[in-house]
Amino acid sequence: MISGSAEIARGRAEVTPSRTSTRAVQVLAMLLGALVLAGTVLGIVDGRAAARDEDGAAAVAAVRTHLTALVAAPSSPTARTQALDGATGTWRARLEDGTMPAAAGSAVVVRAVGLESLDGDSARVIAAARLTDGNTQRAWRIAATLTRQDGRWLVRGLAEVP
Amino acid sequence: MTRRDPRRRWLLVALAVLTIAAAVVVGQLARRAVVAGETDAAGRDGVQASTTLTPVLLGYDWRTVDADADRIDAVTTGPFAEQNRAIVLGLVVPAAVEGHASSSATVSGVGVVTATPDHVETVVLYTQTTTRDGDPAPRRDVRSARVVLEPSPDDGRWLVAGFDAL
Repeated sequence: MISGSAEIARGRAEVTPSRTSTRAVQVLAMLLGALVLAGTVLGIVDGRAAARDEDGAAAVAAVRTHLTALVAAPSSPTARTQALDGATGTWRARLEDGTMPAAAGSAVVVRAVGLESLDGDSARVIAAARLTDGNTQRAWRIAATLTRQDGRWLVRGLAEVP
Repeated sequence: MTRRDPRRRWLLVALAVLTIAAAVVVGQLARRAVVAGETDAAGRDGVQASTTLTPVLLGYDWRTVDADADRIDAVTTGPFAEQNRAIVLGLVVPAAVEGHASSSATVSGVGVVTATPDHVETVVLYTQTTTRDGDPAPRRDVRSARVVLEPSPDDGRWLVAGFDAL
């Protein structure tokens, strides 16, 4: 009887660590699986947020560059090419027709540019600038709409805010 | 049994290490997701706050100028609040009373320049209309400003922490 109990006890002592380790492996595997799943979802969320930040920064930079090129365009063929290169749609057509918002010899200082909205491949940007035209200097307030084409943000509409 | 099966022990150790590493990565990604969400919300709230607070900051009427000064003070925060209070009480209020002046502003556009969960910088396009005794008609000026917003330390409301004319 005593001998039988000792055998059972020895058997349990040998089996229990094995079962425990199997269970630990199962728990860790499940936990790892859940973490990988959560990491994948969070990675996608993080990637989208980063892409959105990059889109906003790129749209703002495109407007800043476009405004500078636009004002320099009447007196610089290079700037005119750059202005056309940064435009699309009806706005580009207007620029190609020769409609430039500033006269030759004008200069612009872009003070601040901010993102008003961003929705997929469309963005709207607000800019505050000072436009020097001859001896006169005035506030130049711009609202620009942009569209993304082939990975580039292009100005498709630009209007002075009265 | 375990002692006799080193492969199982190594599997356990490897799984434990991988799980800890995954937990660290997931923790960091979760934190980034929370910050990204808070930044998005801050940008939206900042635009809303700039739109509603800029007219408050720039609005006064000589007949109600003391109450207006209190209202202006209530929408500012941080070191800017003290600077603005000094300007309002030292310059704006006396000039408004003396010249029977009033001012109002309407916002025509707001864009987010930068945003973090507790600091938003916006560019605001607005029109300021001022009237004073002796002027034949109200004066209308189109202006732009860089408006900085931060949450109130008391209740978390977004308040003006900086205003620079552009």
